[in-house]
Amino acid sequence: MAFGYNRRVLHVDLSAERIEVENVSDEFYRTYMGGSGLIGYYLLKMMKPGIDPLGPDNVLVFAPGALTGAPLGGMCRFAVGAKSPLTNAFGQSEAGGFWGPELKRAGFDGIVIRGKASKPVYLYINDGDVSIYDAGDLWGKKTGEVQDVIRDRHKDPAIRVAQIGPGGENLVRYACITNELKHFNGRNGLGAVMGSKNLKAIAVRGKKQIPIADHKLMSEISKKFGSTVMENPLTKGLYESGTAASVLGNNAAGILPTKNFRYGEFDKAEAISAKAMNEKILVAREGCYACPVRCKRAVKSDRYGVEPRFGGPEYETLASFGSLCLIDDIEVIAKANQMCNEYTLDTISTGMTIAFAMECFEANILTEDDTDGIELSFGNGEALLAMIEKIAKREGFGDVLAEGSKRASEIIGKGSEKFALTVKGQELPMHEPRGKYSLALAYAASERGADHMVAAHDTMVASKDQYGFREIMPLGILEPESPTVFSNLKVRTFAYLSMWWSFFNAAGICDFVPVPRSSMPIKDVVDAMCAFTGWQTSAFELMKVGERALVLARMFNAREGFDVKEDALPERLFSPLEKGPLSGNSLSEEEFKEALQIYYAMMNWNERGIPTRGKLSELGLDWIAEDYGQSYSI
Amino acid sequence: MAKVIVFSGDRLTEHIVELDRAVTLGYILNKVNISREEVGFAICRSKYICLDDLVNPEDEVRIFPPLGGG
Repeated sequence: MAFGYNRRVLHVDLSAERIEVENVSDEFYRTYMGGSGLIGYYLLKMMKPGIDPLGPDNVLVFAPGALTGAPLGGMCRFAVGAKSPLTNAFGQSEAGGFWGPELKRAGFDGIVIRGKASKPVYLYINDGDVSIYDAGDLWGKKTGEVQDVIRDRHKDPAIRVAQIGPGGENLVRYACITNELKHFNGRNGLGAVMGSKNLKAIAVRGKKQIPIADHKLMSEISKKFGSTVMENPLTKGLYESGTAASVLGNNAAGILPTKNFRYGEFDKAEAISAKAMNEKILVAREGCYACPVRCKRAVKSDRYGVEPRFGGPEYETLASFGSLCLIDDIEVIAKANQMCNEYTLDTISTGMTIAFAMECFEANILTEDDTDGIELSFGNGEALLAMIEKIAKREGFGDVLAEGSKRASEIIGKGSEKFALTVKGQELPMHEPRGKYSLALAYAASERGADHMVAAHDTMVASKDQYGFREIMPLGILEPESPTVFSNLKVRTFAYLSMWWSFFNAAGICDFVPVPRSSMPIKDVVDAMCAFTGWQTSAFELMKVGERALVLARMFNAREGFDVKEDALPERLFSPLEKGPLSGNSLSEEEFKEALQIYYAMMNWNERGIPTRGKLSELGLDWIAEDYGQSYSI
Repeated sequence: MAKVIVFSGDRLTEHIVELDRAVTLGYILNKVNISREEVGFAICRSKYICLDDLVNPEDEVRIFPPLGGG
């Protein structure tokens, strides 16, 4: 009997309309686990290099983690992966909510989807039974209506629906996938991959209990974490203010991305802060499966018809539609957030792509003749909303911006390329590497393009007296480093934390629960894994799971022709910050490149950033090592 | 005098600390009644500073709890 997981992966071939179940061994699951580990395995095994990400040969994987579904705060996450249509690289994005635990309760540890349905369909998984249903009447509809119809059709309001809106159907390159209308596999354009397969939704109902190996230990860990939520300032802050607390904090530190990363300080930051949200639009605090932190928000605005069922803007959205575009109206931002939720567009890439266009407009590279008569200037909230609609529908100028800022700049030309701030084609998230140097490594080295969820940020582990720093010392990080220093210590800290966070992804753990971002100690995370699965495991083994997942993704990219030249940053990040307490700070390109090479060496990758044959074998990836130097042009 | 701006609970609070000489950040924390455990990082003169770094009488110091992403 398996504890904590099912030993079953569902395979769906939409072209052949074939459904199969693969039984996997305990050793397989313990090696690849879930999340990026499972995704990397199937993408390398089932996909040839060079395929069109929006064609039928792309493979789309839904992968909860080993701890997903455990009765413990934060154990709710699942990842979706495929070749990304935005980056042409390894694509992966996590979401919280309830869908991941429901899939495991329905009897599956993952879903692997290939081919393309001949017409729009959705999958319905009900306690192990899997069927393909016609979605012709749902295609073109927004997410709220689709969820209601599916639940009503199958007469079960508890069905969890992962779906795409019209943005995914129209193959917007940064379209995302939503579940429960308010949780998102946001980045990398995986919603477009789903749309390219004519797959509208995956509905899941799972009523079985996941067997737990040690109920007593699990219960102790759960009670202990629950008791810390209101005592620990990190978790209490997430409950009281959500991620929105970072708006004023980052602004006061001069690292709030403002005007397309020109500045680090927004003079109207208070208008888009947690305080403004609480006073003007907040109606509820909500959470994910089994989690007491309840960091999610639900908001309402009568002026713009914003409904609580679509949740509320997170920090990334407040910044990407707020300070980045110089918009100071929180109700406009809430409306923009809801539109993206209904159409399923990534709010980060949408905000960044519109900010790119705003800077082009300011520089007279674009005029109203190009933008369908819309005055696309910084600060114009109505223009923001109008452009989101056009992007989702690929109408007029929206069709250009739907390609993402990098491709849009290639279409527009005229020097616009310098305003498109991307890594591997994915737009920067709302964190400033000029104030947190490990983000320079995270953005550049991440296999999925610029991503802020690669490792704990410098400011979480900057001081020896800090709770978060003391709690990560069991990983072997014994000295802190200043946020704006590149040193071997900084690189090593980043390397260790990125492997540990990669393990969180494979295990389905929310980053807002364990240290250093929150309060669950490393020992309790390891014990939770033992209690749920019955494995006698350790932080060492689990760290290796995380490292393995990173290396699988990196080998996928190597096979596609990616190497050190794509681990690069936009030019703007090597210019000084222009405003705020950290004004004058910039990254040194020379120091950054040196730090990148040190990172490669520490990870046992060659100078091109490709894992060595020895590293592959050390991680038990001999099946890839056997092809080394043959299939991967190394 | 040194201006000390503390960010906590989504609020900025300003303190004035009278100084006749340079003092450490640790000294400043005692003066504004903030424990070391509450501090994530501090900024002064456009750079991050540690507990043992000196703050001059005319400086502005900004003190933050740990701030992360999301």
